[in-house]
Amino acid sequence: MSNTNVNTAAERNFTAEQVALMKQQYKKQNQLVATWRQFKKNKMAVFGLIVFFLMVIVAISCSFIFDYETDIVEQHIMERFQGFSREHPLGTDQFGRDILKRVLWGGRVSLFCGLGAVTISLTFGSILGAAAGFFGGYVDDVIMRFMDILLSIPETLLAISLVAAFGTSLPVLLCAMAVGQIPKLSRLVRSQVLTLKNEQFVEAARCCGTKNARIIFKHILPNAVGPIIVNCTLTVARSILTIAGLSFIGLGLQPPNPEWGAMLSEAKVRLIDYPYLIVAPGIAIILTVMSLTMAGDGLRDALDPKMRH
Amino acid sequence: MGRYIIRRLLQLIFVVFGISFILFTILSLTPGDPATLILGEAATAESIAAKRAELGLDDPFFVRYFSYLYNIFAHGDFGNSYRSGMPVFKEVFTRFPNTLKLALLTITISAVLGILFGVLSAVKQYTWIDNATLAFTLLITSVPSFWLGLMLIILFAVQLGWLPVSGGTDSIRGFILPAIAGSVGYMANTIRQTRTSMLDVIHSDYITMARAKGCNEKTVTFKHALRNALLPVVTLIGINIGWQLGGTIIIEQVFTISGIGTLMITSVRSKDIPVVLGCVTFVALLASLINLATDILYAYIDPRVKSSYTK
Repeated sequence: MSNTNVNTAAERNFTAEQVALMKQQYKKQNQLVATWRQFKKNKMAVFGLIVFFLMVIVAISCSFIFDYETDIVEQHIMERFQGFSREHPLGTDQFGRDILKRVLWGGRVSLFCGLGAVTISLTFGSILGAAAGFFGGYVDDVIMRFMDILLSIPETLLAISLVAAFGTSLPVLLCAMAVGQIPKLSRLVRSQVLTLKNEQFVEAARCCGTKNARIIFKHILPNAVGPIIVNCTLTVARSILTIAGLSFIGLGLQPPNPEWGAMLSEAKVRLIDYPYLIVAPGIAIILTVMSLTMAGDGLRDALDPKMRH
Repeated sequence: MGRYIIRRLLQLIFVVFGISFILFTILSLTPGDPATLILGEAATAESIAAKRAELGLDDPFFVRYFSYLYNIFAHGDFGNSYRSGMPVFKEVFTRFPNTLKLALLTITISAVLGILFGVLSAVKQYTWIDNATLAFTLLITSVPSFWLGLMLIILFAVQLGWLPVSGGTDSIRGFILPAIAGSVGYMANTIRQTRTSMLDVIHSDYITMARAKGCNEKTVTFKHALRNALLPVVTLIGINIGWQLGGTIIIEQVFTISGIGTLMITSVRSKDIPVVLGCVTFVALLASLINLATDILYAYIDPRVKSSYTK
C-alpha cells in the first residue's frame, strides 16, 4: 500500500539520490523486513524453516532422480525384508522395495496433499471470511452460522463422510482435508477484515470509486496476510497428519502409493515380525509436521508487535 | 443464567439441523443405487423398484431428509443397515461403550498430565523445566497418534509383554495403550492452554497479595492461581472430549478395538451408507451436546459470565 508514496515522491521532482534514500528508509520500515529480522532471532523457527525447505527441495528433486514405476512401486520379491545395507540404507519392505526411496517420494505426496488442501481451504476460507467481514449483516450471519455448523462436526468425521460418498480419489481427499479447515480460516480472515475495513486507506479507496471486490482483494487481504500465512503453515502440518491418518485406516491414498500413512498401514500387518518398517515413515511425518509447526510458531511471534522491541 | 441456557439450547437445535443436513446431503450424493446394493446385482427390475419405494428413495430430497430426521427424534431410529438389515441405532449402541471408555480414559490422561505440565511450565517460566516442557509439547503435537500407538505396541506389548497387543473389551488393561497413544495431541493443547492462562493469572495483583500475606507457594499456585486459570482449560477439555469421540476412529484401528470407529470404517468400505450416516451423525450430535454442557458449566463456574446474564 505504501508503494504509492514513493511514486508520488518521484513525481514531485525529487533528485534521484533523495528518491533512493526514501526507498531505503521505506525498506527499513517495510513490514516484511522487520518480520524477517524478528524471525531470524528465533533459532528454532529458522531451523524449522530450513528443514522444511530441504524437504521441499528433496520432494521436487526426487522425481528427477527416481523413476516412479521402477524405483518406487515395482516389487522385487527376492529382496524383501532386507536389513540396513549400502544399497538400501533403510532396508526394504515386504515387497522388496527400497524404504528410503519410498519415504523420500512420500514426502512429495504429503507436501503436495498438504499444500493442495491449504490452497483449497484458503481460497474458500478467504472468500467466505472476507465476504462475511466486509458486508456484515445477513451475509455475515448466514456464512458464519454455516461455518459454526461445519466446525461442530469433528474433522475426521467430515473427511470420512466425504470419502464414503465419493471414494478415495485425490481431488476428493484434498477436499476432505480442506473442508474441515475452511471454517477456521474464514473466521480468521473475517476478524482481520473487520479490523481493517474501517482503516483510512480503505476509505480512500472507496472514495476513488473502487469496486468492493477490488477493495477486498487488493487493499484488505494483502494487509491481513501475516496471520493468514501463520495459520496456513499450521494447516499444512495438520493436513499432513490428517492424510496420513486417513491413509493409515485405508480411506486415504491407497497402496502402493508411498504416502507415509499408507506405508505405515502396509507395515502394520508385519508389525510384530518386522517392526523396523514403521520407523522411517513415522519419523518423516514427525519431522515434517514439527518443522512446519516451529516455522509457523516463529512466524506468529515475529508478526506479533508485542514481541518486537 | 436461565436465559443463557435457553439461548444455547436454541443454538443447539439449529446446529443439530445443520449437522444432520450437511451429512445427509453429502452421503445421499453417493453414487450407486441402495436398492441394488441390498438385493444384489441379480435382482429383477420389479423387486428393485419395489425396494426403492419401500425405502422411500423415489421421494424428493427434502421429504427424505425430514422423514430421516423425524425418525431419529421421534423413534430414535437411524434407519437400517443395507448389509445386515439390523437397525443402525442398535449397531452403533452395541459398540458405543468401547468408544466412550476409550475417549474418557484418553481425555482423563491428557487433562491430568496436561494441566500438571502446564502449571509446572508456567511456575518455572524460562527455566530448563519450562523449555523441556515446551519441547515435549512440540514433539507430541507432531507425533501421529497411530504411529505412537504402533511404537507402544512394539515396546510394551511385544518386547516387554506388560499389556495386551489389541484392545481387549473386557478389562481396562486393553485400553491403557490406546488411551496413551490417543492422548498426546490433546495433552499438547492442554499444556499450552494451561501455561498461557497460568502466566496471565500469575502476574496479577491478587497473586502478589496472596504472597504478601504469607501464603506458601503451593497454596498460591493451586488455590489462587490455578483455580482462576482453569476456566479456559475446562472449555478446551470439553471441546477435546467431543473431538476425541471422532478421533478414536484411527486409534481403534491400531488396537483393533470394536468401537464406533471400526464400525464406521467397515461400513465405508462396504458402502453401507445408513450405518456411516448414523455413526457420523450420532458422534457429531454427541460432540455438540458435550460442548453445550461445557459452555453451561463454564458459565456456572465463571462469575463473570454468570453475572452478565443475571441482570
